[in-house]
Amino acid sequence: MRDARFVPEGGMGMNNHLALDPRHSIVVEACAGSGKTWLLVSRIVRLLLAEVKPGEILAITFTRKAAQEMQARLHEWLHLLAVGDDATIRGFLRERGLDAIDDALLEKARGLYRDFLLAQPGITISTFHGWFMQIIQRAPLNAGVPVGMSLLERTTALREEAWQAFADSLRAAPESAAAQSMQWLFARYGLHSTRALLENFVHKRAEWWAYTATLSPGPSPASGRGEHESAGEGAVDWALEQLRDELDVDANADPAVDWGHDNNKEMLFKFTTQLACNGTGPQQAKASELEQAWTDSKPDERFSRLWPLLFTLKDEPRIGSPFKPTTKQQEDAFILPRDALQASLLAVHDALTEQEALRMNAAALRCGAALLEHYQELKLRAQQMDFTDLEWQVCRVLNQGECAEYMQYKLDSRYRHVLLDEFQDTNPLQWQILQSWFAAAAAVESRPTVFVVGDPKQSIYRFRRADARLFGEVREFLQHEFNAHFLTQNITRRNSPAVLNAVNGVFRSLPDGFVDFEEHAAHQSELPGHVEVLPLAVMEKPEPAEIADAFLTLRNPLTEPRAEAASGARELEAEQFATQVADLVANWSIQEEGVGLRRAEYRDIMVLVRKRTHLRVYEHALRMRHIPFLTSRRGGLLDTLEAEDIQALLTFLITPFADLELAQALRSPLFACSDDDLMQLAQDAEGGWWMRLQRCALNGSASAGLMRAHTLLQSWLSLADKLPVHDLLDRIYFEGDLAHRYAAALPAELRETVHANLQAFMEIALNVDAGRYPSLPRFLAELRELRAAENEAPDEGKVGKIDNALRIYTVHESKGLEAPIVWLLDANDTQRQTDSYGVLLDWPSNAPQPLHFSLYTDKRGRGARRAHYFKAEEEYAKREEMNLLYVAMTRAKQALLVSGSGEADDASWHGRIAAALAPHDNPLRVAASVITFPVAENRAITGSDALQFAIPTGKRTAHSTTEQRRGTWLHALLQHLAPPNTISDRSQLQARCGIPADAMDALWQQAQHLLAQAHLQRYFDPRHYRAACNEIPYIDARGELKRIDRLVEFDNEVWVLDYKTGESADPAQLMEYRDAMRAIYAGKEVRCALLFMDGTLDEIQ
Amino acid sequence: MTQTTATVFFGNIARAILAQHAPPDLRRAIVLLPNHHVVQPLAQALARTANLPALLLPQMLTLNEWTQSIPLAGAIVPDTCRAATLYQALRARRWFQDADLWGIARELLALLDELTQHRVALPQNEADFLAQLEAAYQARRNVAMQFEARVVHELWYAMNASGELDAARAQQQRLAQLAQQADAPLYVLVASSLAMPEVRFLEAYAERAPVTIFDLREMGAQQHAVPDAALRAPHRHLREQATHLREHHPHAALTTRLRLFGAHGLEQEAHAAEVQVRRWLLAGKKNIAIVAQDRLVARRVRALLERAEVLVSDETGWTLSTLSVSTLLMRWLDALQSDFYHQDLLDLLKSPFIFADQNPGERKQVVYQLEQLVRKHGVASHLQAFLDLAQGEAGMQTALVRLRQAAEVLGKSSTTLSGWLHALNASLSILGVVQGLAADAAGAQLLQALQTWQQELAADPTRFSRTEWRHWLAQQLDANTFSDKSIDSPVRLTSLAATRWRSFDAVLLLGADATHLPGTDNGSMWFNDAVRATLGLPTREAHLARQRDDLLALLAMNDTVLATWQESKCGEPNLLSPYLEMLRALHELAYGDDLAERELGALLQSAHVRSADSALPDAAAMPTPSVPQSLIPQRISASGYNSLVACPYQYYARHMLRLNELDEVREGVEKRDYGEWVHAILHRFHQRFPLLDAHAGKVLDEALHSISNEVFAPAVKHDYLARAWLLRWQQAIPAYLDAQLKSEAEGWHYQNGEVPFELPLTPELMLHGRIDRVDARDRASKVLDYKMMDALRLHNKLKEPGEDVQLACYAHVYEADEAAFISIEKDKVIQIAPPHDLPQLAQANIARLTAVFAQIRDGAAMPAHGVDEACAYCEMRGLCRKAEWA
Ligand code: SF4
Repeated sequence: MRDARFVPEGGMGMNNHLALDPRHSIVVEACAGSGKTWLLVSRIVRLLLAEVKPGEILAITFTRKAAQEMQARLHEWLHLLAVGDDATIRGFLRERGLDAIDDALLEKARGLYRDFLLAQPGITISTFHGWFMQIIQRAPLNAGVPVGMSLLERTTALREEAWQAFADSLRAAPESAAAQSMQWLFARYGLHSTRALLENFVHKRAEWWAYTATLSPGPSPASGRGEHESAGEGAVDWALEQLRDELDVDANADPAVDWGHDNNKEMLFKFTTQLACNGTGPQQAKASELEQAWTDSKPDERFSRLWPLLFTLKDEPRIGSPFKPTTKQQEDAFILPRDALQASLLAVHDALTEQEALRMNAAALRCGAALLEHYQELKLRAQQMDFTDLEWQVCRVLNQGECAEYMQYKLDSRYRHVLLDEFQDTNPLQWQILQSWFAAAAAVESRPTVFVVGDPKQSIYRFRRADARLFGEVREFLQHEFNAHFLTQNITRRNSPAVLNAVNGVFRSLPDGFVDFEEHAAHQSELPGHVEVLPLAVMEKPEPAEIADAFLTLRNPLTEPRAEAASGARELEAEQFATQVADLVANWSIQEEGVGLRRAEYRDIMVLVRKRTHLRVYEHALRMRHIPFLTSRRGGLLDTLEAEDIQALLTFLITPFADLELAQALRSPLFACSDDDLMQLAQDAEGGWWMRLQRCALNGSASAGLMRAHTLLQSWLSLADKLPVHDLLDRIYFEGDLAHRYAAALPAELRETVHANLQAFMEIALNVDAGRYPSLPRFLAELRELRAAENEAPDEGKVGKIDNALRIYTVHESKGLEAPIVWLLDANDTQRQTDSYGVLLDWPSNAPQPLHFSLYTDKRGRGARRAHYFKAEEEYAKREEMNLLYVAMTRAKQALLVSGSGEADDASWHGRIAAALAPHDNPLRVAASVITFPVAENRAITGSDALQFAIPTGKRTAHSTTEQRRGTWLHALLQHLAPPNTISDRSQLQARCGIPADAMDALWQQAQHLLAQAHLQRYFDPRHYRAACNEIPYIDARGELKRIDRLVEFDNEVWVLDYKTGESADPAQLMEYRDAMRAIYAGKEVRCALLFMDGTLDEIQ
Repeated sequence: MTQTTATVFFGNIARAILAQHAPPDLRRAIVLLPNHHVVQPLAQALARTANLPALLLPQMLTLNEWTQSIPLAGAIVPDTCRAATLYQALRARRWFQDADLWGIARELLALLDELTQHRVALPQNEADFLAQLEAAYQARRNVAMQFEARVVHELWYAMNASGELDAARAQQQRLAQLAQQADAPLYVLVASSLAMPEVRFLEAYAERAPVTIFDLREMGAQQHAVPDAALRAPHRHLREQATHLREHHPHAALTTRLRLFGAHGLEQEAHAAEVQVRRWLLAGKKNIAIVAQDRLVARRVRALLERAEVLVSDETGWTLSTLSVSTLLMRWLDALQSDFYHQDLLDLLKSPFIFADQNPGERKQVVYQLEQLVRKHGVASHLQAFLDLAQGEAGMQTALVRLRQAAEVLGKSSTTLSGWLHALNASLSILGVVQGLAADAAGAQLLQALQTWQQELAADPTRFSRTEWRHWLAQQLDANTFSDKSIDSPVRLTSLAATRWRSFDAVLLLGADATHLPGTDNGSMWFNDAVRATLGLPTREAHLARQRDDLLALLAMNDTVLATWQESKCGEPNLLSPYLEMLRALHELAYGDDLAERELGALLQSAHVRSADSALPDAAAMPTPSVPQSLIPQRISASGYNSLVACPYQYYARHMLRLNELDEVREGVEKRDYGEWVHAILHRFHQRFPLLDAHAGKVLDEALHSISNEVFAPAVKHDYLARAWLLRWQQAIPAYLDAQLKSEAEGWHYQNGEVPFELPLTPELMLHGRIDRVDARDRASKVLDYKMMDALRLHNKLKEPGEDVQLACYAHVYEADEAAFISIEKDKVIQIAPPHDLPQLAQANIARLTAVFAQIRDGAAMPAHGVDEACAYCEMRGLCRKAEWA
């Protein structure tokens, strides 16, 4: 990535002069690999050079990772400017569109590094959410933003809770409107789909609020509580009103009944006459069936009787025979009345569908709003908000004119330059927010410059509500309002010409949804490349097995495993894939910058799939060949066997009767007990397994493995409720020698991954412990929740820089990544999963709010009135599909390999790329001896180094006894009660000495009593001595610091008093005091005594 | 021996003090220190310099210690009381809907204290204040600002009206008094700019007695040269600076003093830190500081060090809310609030601090017993339900009764904070928690804190609801810390601010990345920096400057420092602290050394302390146990047989080892409940109506509906969502009746349902089970099994002979002529029969079963070779360990 950049002036690149000129607002549409980050960061450098303060710059990008990379790049460059020689700096600046480079500019460039690093406030390079968080924390107090909220990153558990709470509320009021609606939905769609529908509604709540906002400008619809209930209801009513108008539904009419009236009789009979006339037997029969259906039924039943006769189950008109004119019949005369009849029925059917749609919306919106309220309420109670709330709240705040303005003042940073990266991934609400921000900035007369980079071709985040169409809108807006310049860039630094040929070949023809496409050119025109589309894997249809086999022979499960069920085309493809990967690593070479030609390695290969569904198959093939790979499997870390092992062990530690968990722990590499061990325990039929293990450990029948397990488990059991989870886990990892044992048990290609996963698990525990109110049961419950929450599961451990493994990603995950070799798997699959049961939206990107919002169910319930929305959606989805392909292809630096299975399909990715390809040689298949990655050896554990042994250091002090504590307190009391500087206020004294209230009384009495004793007055009553002081520190010749409890000076002698409050007296200590004081009070006699708490004064001679 | 830098510094100070005060009695001098750790080195420096057998030392203390010794005229109003008053004021004003008023009150108090400390008096008139804000914000007046002004202004006056003495004011009074009484010479050690109140104090003091300031920033130019040039000098030109440094301080390179280590990820950083500490220990270093900018890593480091038996003493504290003693407290309140939701209850009972008057073994026994019952009977909550469950179990009864008693104590709905605390304490006593906590250092401190708060708030009359009180308590637990003093070690964990003027043999600066150094405070919710500056309050700038100075002081005082940070985190780059980055850049330029620690990385691989020397396990491989006779079952059910066919190892684990998953308490209706209920409904229905033909459709329909309603009733009562399942079934009713009538029309009559059977196959093996239903036609019979599953899946199950054995087994038992699954789906009910000759199929299956069992008895192995489909939901995957075979 480091050197990817826009081609400097003079090449075919675009105008960097203009793009980087800090005075202009700029919109850049730039293709993949063209160095957008380079451009953006360069622009920041130019801003800084133009005396812009870091705090005046706001750069927003799509992921935290991108933000971090940007920041790192910026630091690197500024560092370069600070330390580079003149020529370097000049070169650097010239590349970034600066020509007149005088000394002053050089000087300035050099100073940027320090100014930037130490600037206050610093630059803001962030994601939208990061920036929103900053805003919301500073939101005006009166903006109705709940104060003191924290960000909720995982919502699954809370959504589940909301769902339960909603269900409970329905149970409590089974007659309520919501409960009735719910009942209706259940009956129509079942539990699963109903929930999916309502959850989707909740998911789209920002849009819902935006849609209904004009109607309910209440303080904060998002805070959902009590009084908003009516507002929520109002919103539903309003939305239904809109929908009713749009669907043109008359709630009181029943079109089916209306249809059955006599006015349609003629139409029917006109057709039946044609049907019967010259008709075949079946036609005549059908004709009379139709007529009967009319005459035999009451008007309100006629429609429903006739409909199935004239329409298929899929609601298609029946036009085949017998409803097809035969040669004996006159075509027009037959078809016209048929079509008229069917059209009239269809109209009724459509009207009914719309009615149904409206009814569904009425029920589902009502329930959805109620569910939403529960969800919001729960978050409010926990003082949390999620990303959507955050976005909405920010939008709301900034839409309140005065608040928006106030925010301009309130943030310490005042942005004068806004840079937006990956703009195609922005959603309408985010754009709304930016617009409000700009407007407010303009109102306080500091309109920023805006710099936008993006690539609508790479917009693939529709499911996160991003809308690529915004790009065009925004471009126009900025051109118009900010006089922005629009630039395009289609030269890439990343891809080889071979890869680009394929990209150009596919997109030149403007596939689905593309309206223009500019051919890409390669900057590295010499980079060898290769694109290969492998033949589709197809499966010979297996002979249908002879079912009526006279002789049934059944498989013996002990000796013969069952054949894997779906040994199909996909498995063949996977085979093909794994074989080729092995070949590739053996025989291909790639070009690495700074290294030159070298052997291809596993880590050079990035494998892309569109969805994870079939990953298992491909992984299996890799594993069979021992090819190391990393994958982001659904389910993630917690579903890996090693993480399950740890969870099982922890579960056992708090529920010792969990036998299966114990058995799993025993079988895991941690204890690596054999099945013989398990069977031994199983044979002892009494009590739980833990008890049995204890028994066999005691009676000496346990194997070494079981003994070890017993010892360790015993000790962990006793710690499980005392140690924090992380500390407990650390004990387990350490005492169980976990890392080494897993490494020994696992095949080499899994080691790194498993090791990383074990660490990642530890990190989760560490984080949980840092949270509030940790406990082991809670930790395990949290893990269960995490596991249940599909998309929110924690990542598997990411291995550091050093691993040589092939990586498998979904195309979505691959965004922003690149690799020398990219393999596109399963590329012949054209099935797209569309959401049934969801929210239908029409939110034109420049509109402040959606123009349409309704819910839909399965295909049949969608109706005609909303068809154009569905169509638009579908087209957009197709376009996104092509965008995905674009992203996938452009990840490849040198080679792109495509494979798939099944019947050839021109519209599939496989088909499209194959069509765009001309045969050529593979220049990568050349030998190179350079290997940068040595094959990983199992780490040898070498002996003798001192760092492999414990160094006992430090000690734990014993918990002080009550007696000791009392002693300390009494000591402290005396110190403060004895003059000088007596503290006489009892409560102050108590606080000062940290004495608990219940202990104070007795101690106080004792101290007072002691000080009042007559024979001690000489030492405690100022009238008797010249001077005294308490707690007097001195240092002796050896540099040791000592403290004397009380030193009393008389005219000719000095007394050293040592309070004895329990511990045994040490006369030697006192002698030391005396010697020291003799040195100080030369000429005076120094005497010393122990003062016991009963008043005894014991002089030491 | 060469002197350490720190000795030189302290020597200078000692000479300065001794120049003013004649030894051996230095008691008249007062030395203000940043912390008490500095006493020792300074005293030693004095002793060295004076070179006498003994010295009576100056008064050496921190400013806080000093002011604390000044008696006050009146009592200080504790912050707990102020917060309660403020809360009450906020509540009464109804300004903030839905907000956490305790949070706002806390922020406000902090602001009010700052205003006091910096002697900011707000203008009398709110409008004037607003004007002040307007100017500071450089903004036009607007509603939001007006509101902010109003809140602060009004509450400031409200809180000040009482004239009570709060801690900030008390401190002010004391400082004033100290300055008034000043008579002894004062020496002050500083490392960064003093805060305004301190500056004022010293100014006042200096009017009466001499004040000498030792500023670390100005001492020892040599040690400071590079860091100072990098971070404090106003010079922007790095190259010139480097040249200058090289010329004027050729020996100032930090090469031997400071190293930087960038790690990949948390574990590596922690490991590196741990190894470095051990290297230092091995090199004989006696006093090692771990300065924890990142607490998470510090915790990890501490655990790793403990592996090597290096204990770490901890000067920093842990927030009470992160300690298990507080967990217990909150879990108790959770349990109360959720009416003893089983997870809360069990979590509570598993705490080692509860029922501390009991033998821990017994206590645990009781919890485990209870948990087993709860899981078995699926009781989700309600104390009474648990009590019912524990009928006749004395141990459990006692425990639960104690919970009930304790709950009663906390039964009220609103009282004062001290009332709540009192009740809490009473409930904790009943539960034996007080005893448990008292035996734990953190617990004792928590109890002490609770008691203190209760006393402080004793007179506060404000009443709070239970929820308000809980929020309060949570906030208190967040705001207070516990520090563990029980470890004495040369390796200590500390914070940057606590290292002022301290020197160590070696320092490890942990988590030195841009996020943690400088650490950001989130800022107060009030105003912004510009406004704060105008008002005279410290700004973020000051906060950062202090951290920078602390870092510089650390580098100046210490000759061996290693800073670590995570260069990458989860594959994302992570920046080094800008301070260190700057320093590194300058140092590299000036002295050609980028300060990177290069040895350590290579050491890490092999520098693990291992606890065990037991033999490492062999490579994992597919297990193939052969089973001793005693474990071979005498009985097998159809589902057991299915498991045996699917994967012998699975069967082995389930039926030979007899391992089962734990029961989970299920709270909602699940698919399998649905299946069971439908079975029950159909059984009842057919018992009543063996022949449908004889009845009117309407009667059947109604009867089936009413039976369904009855069976579902308990679930529906408990869970609204059960209705959805009921509806789903109801939708299948017409189809079911149709199908049944059709079947009757074909001559099949219901004969029997839910038929248990036991059939000896061999002397050693019995087939057992329960058949859903048997129909008859003339002499012929047909076994049927209800499945809530779509027809296609059932077809597939039956496609390959012998892979699903259920129907074949039943057919064998009943000598049936036909067998089928009844697939019941929404509006579709179909019978699906195996596509093979049934008697033959049954025969073959039974023959295979007996043959396989004979082989097992002969010691045949039970391989774990299930196909992926079987493994996908197999609970034994942790035993066979398929995922890790080579
Ligand atoms: S996971 Fe698969 S192989 Fe292992 S026991 Fe279960 S079914 Fe058999």
